Amino acid sequence: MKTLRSNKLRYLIKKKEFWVCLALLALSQSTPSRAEDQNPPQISTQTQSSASDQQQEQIDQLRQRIQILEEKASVEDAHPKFGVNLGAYGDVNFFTKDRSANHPSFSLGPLDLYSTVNIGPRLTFLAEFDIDFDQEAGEGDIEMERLWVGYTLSDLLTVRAGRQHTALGYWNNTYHHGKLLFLTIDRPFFLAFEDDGGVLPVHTVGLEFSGSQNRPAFRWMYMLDVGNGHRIDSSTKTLVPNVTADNNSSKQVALRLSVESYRLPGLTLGIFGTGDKVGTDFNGNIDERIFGSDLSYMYDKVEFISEYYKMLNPGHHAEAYYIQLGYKIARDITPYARYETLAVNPDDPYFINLQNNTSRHQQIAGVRYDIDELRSALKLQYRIDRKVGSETFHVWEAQWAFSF
Amino acid sequence: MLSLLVLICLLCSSINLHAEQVAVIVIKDGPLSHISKAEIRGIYLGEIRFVGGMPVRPIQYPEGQVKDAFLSNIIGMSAKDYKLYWVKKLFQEGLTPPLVKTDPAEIMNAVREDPWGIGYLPKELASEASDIQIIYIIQEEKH
Repeated sequence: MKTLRSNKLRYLIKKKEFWVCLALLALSQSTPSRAEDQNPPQISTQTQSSASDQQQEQIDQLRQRIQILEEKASVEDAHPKFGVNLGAYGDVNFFTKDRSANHPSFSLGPLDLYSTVNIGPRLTFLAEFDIDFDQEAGEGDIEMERLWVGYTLSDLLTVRAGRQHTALGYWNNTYHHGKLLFLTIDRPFFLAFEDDGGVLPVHTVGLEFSGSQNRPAFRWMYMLDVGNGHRIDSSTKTLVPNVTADNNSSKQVALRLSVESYRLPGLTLGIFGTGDKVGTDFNGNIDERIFGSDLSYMYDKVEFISEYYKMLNPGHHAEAYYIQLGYKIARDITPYARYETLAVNPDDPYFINLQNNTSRHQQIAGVRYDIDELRSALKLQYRIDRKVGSETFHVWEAQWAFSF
Repeated sequence: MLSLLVLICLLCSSINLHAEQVAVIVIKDGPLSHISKAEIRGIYLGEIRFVGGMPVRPIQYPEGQVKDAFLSNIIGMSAKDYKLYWVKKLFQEGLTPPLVKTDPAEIMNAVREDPWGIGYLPKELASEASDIQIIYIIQEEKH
C-alpha cells in the first residue's frame, strides 16, 4: 500500500515538472508585443488619435527628407567623392642595408591617388597617379600610372582605352600601386614596375577587351590587350612603355584566360601570353614572347598565389616564378612567406640591355598586422636577396601602409 | 532532478530564440523572377551586371543583422570581407558597390520602378505586397 502511494506521488510530481517546464517554455516564446498587449496604457481615444496623427506626420516628413537626400546622393555619386570613389594609398618604410641603400633608412613610398566615376551602368572612368620623390634627381615626380575610359556592352564585353596593367598574371591585374591591398611589403622583384627595374611589360597603352561568364560550376574570364609595345632606354637600362607614340609599327598583344571554381571557392587558374617587338637604341627590335600561368587560392584564412613566366628571346630563354603563402592566425595577424626567382642567360639579347640582367632570387618571411583592414596595416619582414655576381643582402624591413 | 530541469527551462526562457526570414525580392513576373541563388550572388558581386541585355540594379539593406544574414547565406562573406571585396573591385575595375537604401519601403519602391531592380529585406515587410515577388528566402537566426 505504502509503495503504491509513493509511486503515485512520484508520478504526480513528474507531471508537475512537465507542466512547469512547458509553462516556462511557452513564456520564452512570447514576443514583446504580446507582453505590451497584456497591459495597454490607459489613455483616451481622442488623445490616441491625435498622437498617432502627429507620429504619422513626422514619419512622412522623415521619408521626404530621406528621399531628397537619396536623390542628391545619386547625382553626387557621379562625381568623385573622397573615401567613396576618390582616394589615396601611401606607405612609409624602414629597411636595413640593401641593394638600393648602404645604410639603414627610412623611406617615403609614393602617394598613389586614384579616382573612378561611373556614368550610368556602362560608362566608367579611372585615373591613377603616383607622386614620388626622386632622390637622385632631387625633385618630385608625378607619373600617370593608369588612365582609361571604358564602355560595357555586356558581361561578356567591356572595352577600355588608355593606359592600364598588361594582361599578364594574377598579381599584375589584381594589385596595382596600393601596397595596403597586398600582403607583403613589395611586389615580386621581377614584377616590379618598369621604372623600378622590372623586366616585364606590366603597363600597356592601347585597347583592352575583357569579359566574363558565370557558369554553374565556374566563372571564366578573359582580358585581351592590343597596344603600343615597349622600348629599352639605354641610358637608364630600363624598360619603358611607349605612352604617346610607338617606336615601331608592331603592336603588343597580350591575352589572359582564367577560371574561378565554384566547387572550390577561392581557387583561380590562369594562363597568359604576350608578344612584342621591343625597341632598343643599338640592337634594333627584339622579338619578345612571354608565356605563363598563375594559380591562386584566396579563401577564409588562406592566401596562396603562384605564377610562372617563360620569356622567349631570340636564341635564348629566361624564366621566373614565385610562390607566396599567407595564413591568418588571428583576426588581424597574417604571417607569410614567399620565394621568388629569375633565371637569366647572360647572353640573352633582351636582358643584356636591362639593369636587372642576371639571375637572382629572394626568400621572404614576414607578418602583417591589420590596424584597420580597409585603411592601415603594419608589415614586418626579413628578406634574403641573392644575385649572381653580386653581394647577398640580409634585410630587415618594415612598412606602414595606409589608405584614405 | 526537478531543480535541474527547472534551471534548464529558466535558461531557455532567458534566451529569446526567434528565427526571422530575409527575402530577396524582384518585381512580380519580371525579368529577374527566375534567377538562381548563384546568379543573385553574381549580381551582388558585380560579376553579373546585365540580364537580357539590360543593366541589373541591386539594392543593399543598411548595416545590421538582415544584411549580415544575406551576405553570409548568399555571398558567403562577412560584412567586412564584402566591404574589402568592393574596395578592391573599385580600385581594379572602377566599379562601385550596390546602392544602399535606408528605408525598406524605398527598397520595394526601387524594385517596383525598375524591372531589373533586386533587393532584400525582412520577409514580413514584403509578404503582403502583391506586385513584389520573393525569389529567395534566407532564415536568419537572431539571439
